[in-house]
Amino acid sequence: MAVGPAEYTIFWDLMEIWNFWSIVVSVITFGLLVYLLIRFRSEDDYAPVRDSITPGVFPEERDNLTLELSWFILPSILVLYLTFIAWQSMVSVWVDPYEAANEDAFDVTVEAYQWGWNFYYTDDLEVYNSTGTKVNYVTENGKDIVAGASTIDGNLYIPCNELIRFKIIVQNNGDDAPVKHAPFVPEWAMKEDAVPGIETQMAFTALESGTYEFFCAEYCGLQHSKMLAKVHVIDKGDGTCNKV
Amino acid sequence: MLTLIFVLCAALALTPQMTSFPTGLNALGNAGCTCHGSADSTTSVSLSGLPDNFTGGSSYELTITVTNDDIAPLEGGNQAGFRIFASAGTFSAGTGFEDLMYESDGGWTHNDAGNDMRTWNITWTAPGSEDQIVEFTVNGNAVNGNAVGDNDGNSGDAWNAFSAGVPGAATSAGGSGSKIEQVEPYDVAIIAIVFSTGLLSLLMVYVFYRNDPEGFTINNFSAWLKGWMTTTDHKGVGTLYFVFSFLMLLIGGIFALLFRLQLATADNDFLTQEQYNSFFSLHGTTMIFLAAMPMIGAFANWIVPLQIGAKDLAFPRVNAMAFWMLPGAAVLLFAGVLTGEGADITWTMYAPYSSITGEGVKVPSEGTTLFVGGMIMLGASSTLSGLNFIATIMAMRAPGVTWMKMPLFTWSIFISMAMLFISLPALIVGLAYLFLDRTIGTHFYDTTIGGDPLLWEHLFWYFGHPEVYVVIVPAFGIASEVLATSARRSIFGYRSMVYAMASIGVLGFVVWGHHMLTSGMDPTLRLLMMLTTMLVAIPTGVKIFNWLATLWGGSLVFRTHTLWALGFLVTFSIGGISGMFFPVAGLDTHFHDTYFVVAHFHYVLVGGTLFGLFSAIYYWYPKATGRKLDETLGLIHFTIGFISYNATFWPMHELGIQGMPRRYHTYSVPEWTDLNTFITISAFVFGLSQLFLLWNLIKSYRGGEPAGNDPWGGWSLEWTTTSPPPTPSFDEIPTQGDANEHHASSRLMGRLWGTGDSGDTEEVGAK
Repeated sequence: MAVGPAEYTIFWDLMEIWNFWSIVVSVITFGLLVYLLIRFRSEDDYAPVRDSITPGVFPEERDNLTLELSWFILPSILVLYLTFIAWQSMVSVWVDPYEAANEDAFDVTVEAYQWGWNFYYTDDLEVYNSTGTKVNYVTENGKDIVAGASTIDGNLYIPCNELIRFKIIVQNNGDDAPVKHAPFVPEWAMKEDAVPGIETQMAFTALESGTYEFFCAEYCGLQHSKMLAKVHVIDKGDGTCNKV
Repeated sequence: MLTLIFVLCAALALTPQMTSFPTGLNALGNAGCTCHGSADSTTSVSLSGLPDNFTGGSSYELTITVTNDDIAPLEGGNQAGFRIFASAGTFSAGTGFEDLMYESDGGWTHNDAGNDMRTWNITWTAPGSEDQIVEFTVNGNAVNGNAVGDNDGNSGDAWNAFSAGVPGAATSAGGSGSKIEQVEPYDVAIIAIVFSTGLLSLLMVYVFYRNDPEGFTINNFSAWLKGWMTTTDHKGVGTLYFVFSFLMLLIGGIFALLFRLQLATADNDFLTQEQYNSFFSLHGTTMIFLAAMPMIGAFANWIVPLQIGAKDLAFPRVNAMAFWMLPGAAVLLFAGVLTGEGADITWTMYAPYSSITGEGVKVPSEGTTLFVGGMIMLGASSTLSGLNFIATIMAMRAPGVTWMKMPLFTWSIFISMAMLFISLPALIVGLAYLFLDRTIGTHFYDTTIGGDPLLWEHLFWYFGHPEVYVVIVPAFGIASEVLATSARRSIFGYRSMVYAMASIGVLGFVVWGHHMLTSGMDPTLRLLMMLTTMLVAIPTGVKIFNWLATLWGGSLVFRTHTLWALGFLVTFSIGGISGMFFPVAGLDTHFHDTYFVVAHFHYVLVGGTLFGLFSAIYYWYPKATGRKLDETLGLIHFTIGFISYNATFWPMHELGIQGMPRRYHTYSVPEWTDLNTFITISAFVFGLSQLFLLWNLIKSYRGGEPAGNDPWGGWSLEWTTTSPPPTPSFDEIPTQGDANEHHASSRLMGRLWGTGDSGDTEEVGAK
C-alpha cells in the first residue's frame, strides 16, 4: 500500500542524509536555545540596563567577528556538501536514465486528460511462461501488451527490472482545452508534469513487482483527486525481479 | 465570537456522521468511468428491474440498457460499455454474462468481450439493513465501433448516466428515517462571513459607545464613522489594516476548518469537489493576500513612521487608497462564493486551467474571472504601498536615524517593500494576460495554438517566490526587536542582520524555479535553481544564530510577545530546514505537490509570519492603545496555540513521505485516515484558540493595565512618544541619539564594516 517510496529508491538514501543533518542542526540550535533560556532568564524585572539602552538612543552595537564568521562558514560548508549531493542526485534522476533510455528502453506513452489516464505501448511486454518460452504478457481483461496496444481503463503494465521511458503527453482531441497534469507514483518517488503541447519524460527502472498507486499530482480541476490509476510491475519470469 | 463558536458547533452537530451517504459515485474508483468520448444527451442509459422497496438480503435481476439512435451498433464489433455502482449491497454477473463483466474498484464494468452489446443482465443482492436508501448510478457509453484492432478510437462515441435511489422496506416511502440532512457547507461559510462582519459592526458601535457613553447619538456615530473612513493618518490606516486583516484571518481559517472536516476521513463527501476546490483556493488567497500582507501593512503603517521619527508616511492619501482597495478586492475575490461557485483555480492560478472558459465541468467555476480581477486590484494596492514605504524610509528619516542606525523592523519593512515593488510587475502582467484570456478571447496561455505552457508559471513564481520572502522578512524584523527588548540587550550583530536580510532579498529573486522542478522546465535551469536555493540557507542561518547570541548575557523577561518570538524561532527553523529537502532532485520528484510541501509552507508562513505577527500584536498593542494585553490570556493563547499548531502541521510531513498528494478532495488510501483525523482535530483546537486573542484584544482595549511610553524597555523612537501617540505623531521632529561613541569597535571590524562611529555628532540624548 502507499506508505512511501520503495526501499531501493534513491529517495531513502537522500532522506537518510537530509534527516541526519536536519537533526544535527536542530539539536544544536534548539539545544542552544533551551540552554540560553534557562541560563539567562531574568531573576527580577529590574535588572540593570546594559548596552546603554535608553529610549531614543541607538544602543551600543554588539558583535563578535569570530563567532559570526564561524556561523557563516560552517553552515556554508554543510550547504556546499549537501549541494554536491543534490547535484549528483539530479544527474542520477534526470540525466543518466534519460541518456540510457535513448539507447534502449521500454517505452510507454502516458496520456493525461480530464480526468483519467490512457497508456499506449510501443514495445512488447514479454514474460517467460511455465514452459520457458517467451510470450506476450496478457492482462486480466485479456489484453495483449504488445507494440500498438493501449490500456485505457486506468491500468498500466510495465516489466520489472527494465528501464522504462514514460513519454508524457496531454490529450488534445479538439473537444476540450487541455490542462496540466502530472503522473505520480509514490512507490518510485517519481513524478513529472504532463504539459499541454509538449512531451515530457520520466525514465525509471522498477525493481520490485506488484501493483502500485498512480496519482495525478498537478491540480487540474474538478476531479483532480479521482484521476487515479494502478501500475502493475510484471515479473518477466527471468529471475531478475525482486532482487533488490 | 460566541456566535461564531455556536455556528461552528451547530455545523458540526448537523453532521453527526462525516458522510451523509456511505459512498457516492465520485467516491468509488474512477469518476464513474473512463468512458470515451463526451457526455451527450443522445445516449440514454436505463436500469430496469429495481424494486420499489428492497427487502434485506434479497437478490434482484437488473438489466442495464444503453441506447443511442444516432450511433448505429456495429455488428460483431464494439457497441457500448457500462459502469454501475450501488451505495450498498453487492453485484454479481447476470446469468450468461459471467465472462462479460467484472468487479473493478468498487463497481462493476464490462470487459473487452462485454462491450459487443448494448444490454447486460446483472444481479444485485440487497444489504441486510433495510433502513436506508441505496443509490444506484450507471454510466453507459454508446460507441460506433470505429476502433480497429487495438486502436481504441473514441471519436463519435457518447456516454450518459442514470441514477436512482431505492429505499429499503423499513424506510417510509420517499423518505428515510436514517438519512440525515447534511448542512450545506457554503451556507456555513456564508453564515460565518456574515456573522463575523456583523459582529465586527457591532463591535465598532460598542467601541464608539465606550469612547463616550454620554454622546451616544447617531450624529456622533456617523461623524465618528466618517472619520475612520476618511482618515489618512498612518495610525488610523494602520488600525484599519489590522481590523480588516484579523477579520480575514478568521474567515480564511473557517474555510480551512471546513475542508479539514472533509479530509478527516477517507472517501468523505462532506464537501463536494467544487466546494473543496474553491474552499482551499480561497483559503490560500485569503490568508496570504488578505490576512498576512495587510497585517504586516498594519504594523508597517503604525510603527515605521514612529521609528524613523516622521509625522506620517510620504503619501498619506495614497496610503488610505491602498487600504480601501482591499475590501473592494475581497468582494471580487469572494464574489463566486455568493453564487454557490467560488473560484477554484488555487492561489497559484496555473494556466492553462485558469485561462480556459466555456460551459461544463472541465473549466474553472463561475467566480473565477472576478477572482482574477480582485487579484489585479490587490496588485495595484500593494504597488502603491511599496512605493509609499520606500519613499518614506528613504526620504523622511529624522536626524540621527541614519541607514545603519535604523531599527531592524524598519529595515525589514524597507527590504520587504522593495522586493514587493520589484516583483509585482511580473504578477500583474501575468494576471492581465489571464484576465484578457478569460474575457476578450486572447490566447496568451493557449497551448493549442503554440502558446508557452510555462509562461504563466515563470511570471507567477518570479513574483511568487520574492512574495514569500516579503511576508517573512518583516517577521524577522519583529523577532529582532522583541528578542532584543526581552533580553534587555541590543541585538547581536546589527550590521550582519541588515546584510543578511538584504542578501535574502536579493537571492529571493533567483530561486523561483524551485517551484517548477518537475514542470517540464529546461534541466539546466533546474540545476541553477537548485544551487541558488541551497544558498539561501546561509544568510538565514546567520540570522538564527544572531538571535540566539542576542539572548546571551541577557536578562530574559518572559512576556507573551517573548514567547511568540521564541516560538517563531523554533517553528521557522523547522520550516527552513524542511525547505532544504526540496532542491534535491531525488527528493523533489517525490515531495512536489504532496503534503510535505503543505507542511513546509505552513511552518514558515504560520510558524514564521503569523507567530511573528502575534508577537508584534502583544508587543505594540500598548503603544497603540495605551493598555497592555492581559498576560494570562496571552499565556493561554500561546500554550494552546503553539501545541495545537504543531499537532496540526507536523504530521503533514509524514503524509507527504507516504505520498499523499495535495489539493485532493478526498483520498482512498485507508492508512492515511488516522493522521488526517488527528490533523483535523488539532486544526480545530488551533482555530478556536485564536478566540483567546480576539477576546484579549477587545477586553484589554478599555480594561487592560495602563502602559506608559515605554512598557517593555525598548530603545527605538516609538517608545519616546506617548501611548497612544498624538496626531500628528510628532509635533517636533525628534533627534535619535547614539550610544556608540563610547563603544570602541575593533580595528578589523572597522575595516570590514566601515567605521563603528556614525560620524554624526549627537549627544547621548534622552527625551
